[in-house]
Amino acid sequence: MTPLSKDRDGKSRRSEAAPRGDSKKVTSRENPLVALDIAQLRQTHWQDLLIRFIFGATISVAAGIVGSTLGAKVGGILLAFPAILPATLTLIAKEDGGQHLFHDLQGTVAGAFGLVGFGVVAAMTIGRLNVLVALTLALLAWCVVAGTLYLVWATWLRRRGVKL
Amino acid sequence: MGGTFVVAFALVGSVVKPKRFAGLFSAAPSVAIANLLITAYSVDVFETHQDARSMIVGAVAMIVAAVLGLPLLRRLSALRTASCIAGFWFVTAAIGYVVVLR
Repeated sequence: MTPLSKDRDGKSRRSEAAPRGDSKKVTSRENPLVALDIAQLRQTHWQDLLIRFIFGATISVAAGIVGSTLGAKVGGILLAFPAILPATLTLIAKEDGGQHLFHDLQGTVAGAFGLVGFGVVAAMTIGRLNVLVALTLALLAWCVVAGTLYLVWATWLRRRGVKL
Repeated sequence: MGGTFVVAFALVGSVVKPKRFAGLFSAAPSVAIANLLITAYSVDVFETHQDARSMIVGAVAMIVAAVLGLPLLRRLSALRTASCIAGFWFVTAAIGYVVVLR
């Protein structure tokens, strides 16, 4: 990421930064940390979902085969393979363009930290608790770690007038 | 089952904004949940526990691969960047396996 300038008003000189004098607007409703847009569901193409399904199913089967032939140590590593990232990146590039792609991958970094949290909690609880309970706690850990990282980072960006 | 979880997280990712937040769901534990459930019910809990421990190495590799992929997006196409990220992941995961798990 390019370094920010040290302007007194804290605005960045990056291309994604808000125009001078617009920081109040950008930090309010128009630049939410998290928002829901259900209407996007209508624009979702079933082909895109099919591609993701195939990627997910393929890596899932591959992890199973590798696990049963080379052992759980190797098979387990594959559970965190960025299976749907190629599909997601190419689809975003096709539909939204480069800047969105960069933003999506930045979010993926936070999600990957959450994946570590998922693995740690799963390793700590599987065998001690019911598997369903253990996986629910692990999923909760993913939400907390990834969500907290995102919120801290997005708040920091927004304070500097960066459009999220 | 893995494909179904992937699609479920992809749908969640498609209805949330902004893109930085939606990106979180590209690293959702969809495949992990599916495979750990299947292993627990079809093999045994010990192997599931082993899978989860090894997965931490894969997750760290994903952080490294995604961070290394960020500057490449400015220079390469999405497909080439995604291929490089997969390559970075394999190399980091292999190093992690040798250093931590072997």
